[in-house]
Amino acid sequence: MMQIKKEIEEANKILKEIEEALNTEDWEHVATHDNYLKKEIGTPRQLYSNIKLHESFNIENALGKFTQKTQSPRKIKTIYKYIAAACVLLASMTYLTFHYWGKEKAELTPYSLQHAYLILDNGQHVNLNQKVNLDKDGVTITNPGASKVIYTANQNVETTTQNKLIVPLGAEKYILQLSDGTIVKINVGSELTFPSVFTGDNRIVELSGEAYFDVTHSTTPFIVRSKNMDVKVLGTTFNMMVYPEEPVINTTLISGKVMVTCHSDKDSITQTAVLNPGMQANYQKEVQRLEINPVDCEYYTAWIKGDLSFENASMEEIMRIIARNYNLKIVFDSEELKDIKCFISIKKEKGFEEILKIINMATGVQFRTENDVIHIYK
Amino acid sequence: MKHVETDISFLKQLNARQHEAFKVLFKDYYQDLAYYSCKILKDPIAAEDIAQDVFIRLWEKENHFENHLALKSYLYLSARNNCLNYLRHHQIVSEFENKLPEETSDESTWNTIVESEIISILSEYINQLPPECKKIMEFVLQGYNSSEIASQTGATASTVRTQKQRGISLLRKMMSPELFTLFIAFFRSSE
Repeated sequence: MMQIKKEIEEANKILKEIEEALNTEDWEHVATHDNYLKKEIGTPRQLYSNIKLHESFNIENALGKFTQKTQSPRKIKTIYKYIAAACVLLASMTYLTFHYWGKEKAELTPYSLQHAYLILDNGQHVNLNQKVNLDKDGVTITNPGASKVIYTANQNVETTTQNKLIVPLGAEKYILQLSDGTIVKINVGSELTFPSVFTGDNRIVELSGEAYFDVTHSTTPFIVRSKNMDVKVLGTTFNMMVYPEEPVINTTLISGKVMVTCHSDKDSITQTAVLNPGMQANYQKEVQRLEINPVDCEYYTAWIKGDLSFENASMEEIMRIIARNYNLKIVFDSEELKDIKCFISIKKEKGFEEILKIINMATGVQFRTENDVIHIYK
Repeated sequence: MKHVETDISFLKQLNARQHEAFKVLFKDYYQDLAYYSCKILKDPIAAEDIAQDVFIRLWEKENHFENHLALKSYLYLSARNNCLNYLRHHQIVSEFENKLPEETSDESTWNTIVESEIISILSEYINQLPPECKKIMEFVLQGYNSSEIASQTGATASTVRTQKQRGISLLRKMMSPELFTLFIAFFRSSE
């Protein structure tokens, strides 16, 4: 918020310069410190043209759209309609819960108000915590259960569009079935960008965060791109953990064969490795170091079963992951607490309070909440 | 001035999710956010979608704003994030088509906020000027000098001078929020 304050102060300062310029007809001294601002608002012709651009956005039309999308009419007859609709909804939800949504448990803890959603190529948001049945450009998008969405391409579809599935912080993991049958299980705080239907010589998706892939076998290679690590497969199951905020990212291969390519942010140097089942490619972004190690695949895919597992992980890493899963802010009151290690495996559905209690019992670190921020101290 | 800056109860109404208040907020900030997004994306249609999105998300989520600065901050940052996501998404598309992705500077989006604030205030200013004054000030803003304005509009040199002085003093008045703050402080203390 302080940043915006700075912006506003600077704007006011420049406005005074503009006021001077209007008076003296001399625009020399307006926004002299910044080329961009000088061009856009320190040059009268451009300034005026920008003002006209601002005015060109039609508020009435836009407000109409907004009202349509957000308002519910409050006539008395409609209230009865709503009561009736609510009863039907309740009945059908009960039916769905028992027949289609199987063992999935509805959780009522506050953090699960967050839910996965789609963004289609036209910018349209599709909430996935309600029934979805869309037909777009020959592709059908449906969600038959509480935590899965399926893309089915009809015959002879030619156009493909970019879609995004986002699982926000604090939301439950979500499953996406792509048009080729590939299953992607997406963890909290992640985004997957993918085409509505695969066309061309490669099947390409982009991941930020963590996801588990069960790729349908095909002669067309399946490629997952992320900021610093790309994975190429023909048909295989693997887990990719590439959260942008994590200093070390990895891909763990469960079955099949993959080729992993790592690259740093700045230069175009790449390092490549081929993985066999039970191996993990582990990349330290800061020093650009790629390592291949045999690992316990169960441990790296524990999140899919709803487990939070930590084996000799530092408190810093544990807190980072807990913060992401429950959408919390966690702060260490003392730096040395970050290095404390522990072994813990807990069911995520127990909730963060329970988990923090367990960590306290295991390590002795304590937690207190101040203004929605959790502090760790000893 | 925006309603949220001058009306204490307005923020309360927004926090209480009253739809009428949201419509007023929309009218106050829609053009600002669309302009801001348009400058980042260079696409007025996408910009309007993003501005629309910011308000819809604001309506859908539970929010609590302490003051108008927090709200304004949220609106701009929301728009900024949507714009950056949009650009990343479109970068991927162009990668697929084997085109070179454009550079997105994170820093430039902050500068654009300064620009948007300035344009927002000047746009509001121009549109509440009395008609004679507005006509002259529109020329002044384009950089015309008084004699050019006189010949362009057919007004006399003294009319141009008078209207220009009037316009500038109105701009000064508009940019003195201290008066408003005092006004509000007075009302607050007498509640």
